[in-house]
Amino acid sequence: MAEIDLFHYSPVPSPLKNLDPRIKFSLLLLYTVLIYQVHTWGLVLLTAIATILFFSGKPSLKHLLFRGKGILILGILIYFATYGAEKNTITALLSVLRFVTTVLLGMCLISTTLPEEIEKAVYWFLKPLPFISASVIATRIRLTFMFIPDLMETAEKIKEARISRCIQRERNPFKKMTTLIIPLLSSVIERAEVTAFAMEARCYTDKKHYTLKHLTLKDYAAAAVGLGAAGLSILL
Amino acid sequence: MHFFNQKTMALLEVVHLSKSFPGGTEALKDVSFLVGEGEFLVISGKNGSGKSVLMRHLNGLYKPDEGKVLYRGTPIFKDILMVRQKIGMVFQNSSSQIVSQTVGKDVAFGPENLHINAVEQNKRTNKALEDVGLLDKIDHNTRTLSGGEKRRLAIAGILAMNPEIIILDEPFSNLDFPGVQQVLRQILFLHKKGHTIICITHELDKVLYHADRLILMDKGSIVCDNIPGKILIKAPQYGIRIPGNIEKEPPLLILERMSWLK
Ligand SMILES: Nc1ncnc2c1ncn2[C@@H]1O[C@H](COP(=O)(O)OP(=O)(O)OP(=O)(O)O)[C@@H](O)[C@H]1O
Ligand SMILES: [Mg+2]
Repeated sequence: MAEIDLFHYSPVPSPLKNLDPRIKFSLLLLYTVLIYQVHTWGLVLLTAIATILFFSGKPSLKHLLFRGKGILILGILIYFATYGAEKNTITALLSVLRFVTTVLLGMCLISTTLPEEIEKAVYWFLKPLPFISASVIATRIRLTFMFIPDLMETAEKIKEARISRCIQRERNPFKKMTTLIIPLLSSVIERAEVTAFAMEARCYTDKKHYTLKHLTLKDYAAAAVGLGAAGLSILL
Repeated sequence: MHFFNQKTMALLEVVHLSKSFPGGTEALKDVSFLVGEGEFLVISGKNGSGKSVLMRHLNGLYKPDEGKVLYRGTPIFKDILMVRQKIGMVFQNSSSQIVSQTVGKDVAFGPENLHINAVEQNKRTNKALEDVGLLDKIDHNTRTLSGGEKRRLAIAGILAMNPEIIILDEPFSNLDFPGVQQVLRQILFLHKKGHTIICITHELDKVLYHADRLILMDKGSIVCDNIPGKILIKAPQYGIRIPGNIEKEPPLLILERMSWLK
């Protein structure tokens, strides 16, 4: 039985769940840009917002620890990389904060929005653009979101298989990498191929209809609050 | 049990199908057979004999190098979307077949593609899930299902399109004893309801007792095509294990053992 992951739609009710995916998506984009533009206190505000939203989804402690480890390691790497370049503790800490906030916001979207909803939102944004097939891109994005947990599960299995064949004794880091990446890629490609066939067998074509709900008062209110906070973070 | 009478019109006609892959693998060599309405056909053969490649030709996922497939007398590529509705496929790896996050949405995926209205979509989804016994899990996350449940979900996704023919590729692989029983019961139920069943498997001991007919494949060709009792004797020479000693026991006695529902 697969466990529900942080990088995955969570069954726990959350205030963000009832929000229209288009609003969530636009705010996420806006905030992601702002994270890298605003000054210190603006960033602190955005981090606070991201943290509150993230914990309002009641993430499971077990997965928090499990995934937190990886994020922590990346954070430390980013710290030293920035510190090496800028020789300034505060700047280095801020770039870690930027990274963590980005991850938190991403997880807020993924854990409260079904991939189908993300697909619809992407379609809605891309539809007015000429020369691209909005439905094809939207479907690919949906499938990518669905693949993420699978990918992690597969990587975990491959890691175990490597450990049981004593990969630790291998000194060559290049070989260490390839023995993970090549099986991972081939399994992803194989899975994607079968999925594509299975979709075609169920009459999937590029011409797809999407039914999006109308925006409600709640959506507009949320958008206004979100924009207000964004404005505040710029002024701070 | 009935054996398809070749004089009545065939539901599906496979005519001189050949297929090679780049690199020189001849996956299918001049394969021909007919499938009659309401038949329960088992296709067997060892690993790499071409079963899955054959199946992908039956609803046009692969294009043959030579030959053709006819559905009710018309080449399938004339109206491929209609054919794909009529010929449902459950793939070898059922978790790759799941395209949605929740059970209900996954079943609705096919009807959605057919642009059926929402009310009818819901009706079909509920009916299909009821048929496979998963209605109580309609809102569950697809990733949390067991192997047997995933396979039944894949079947429900097909049922929601109202198919005539249901093709299942290795429907018993990776399942435990109760899992096999569940899926087998499901298949028999669908056959009884009038669906034509094509079950592709090398695990003959699980299902053959219920089949009307058996096709054995080897190296991309059909080597036998007859009622199970008549060709059981040849199965071991094509790498398929059967539960008994075919030299000492009558085939029908062995056939009696070939069901995991017994
Ligand atoms: N996409 C492909 N490209 C190249 N060769 C292929 C491809 N698909 C199948 N083959 C080859 O065609 C042959 C038949 O494969 P197929 O998958 O139909 O076997 P199978 O009878 O389903 O076996 P199994 O019991 O393992 O599922 C094999 O030799 C396989 O390597
Ligand atoms: Mg196969």
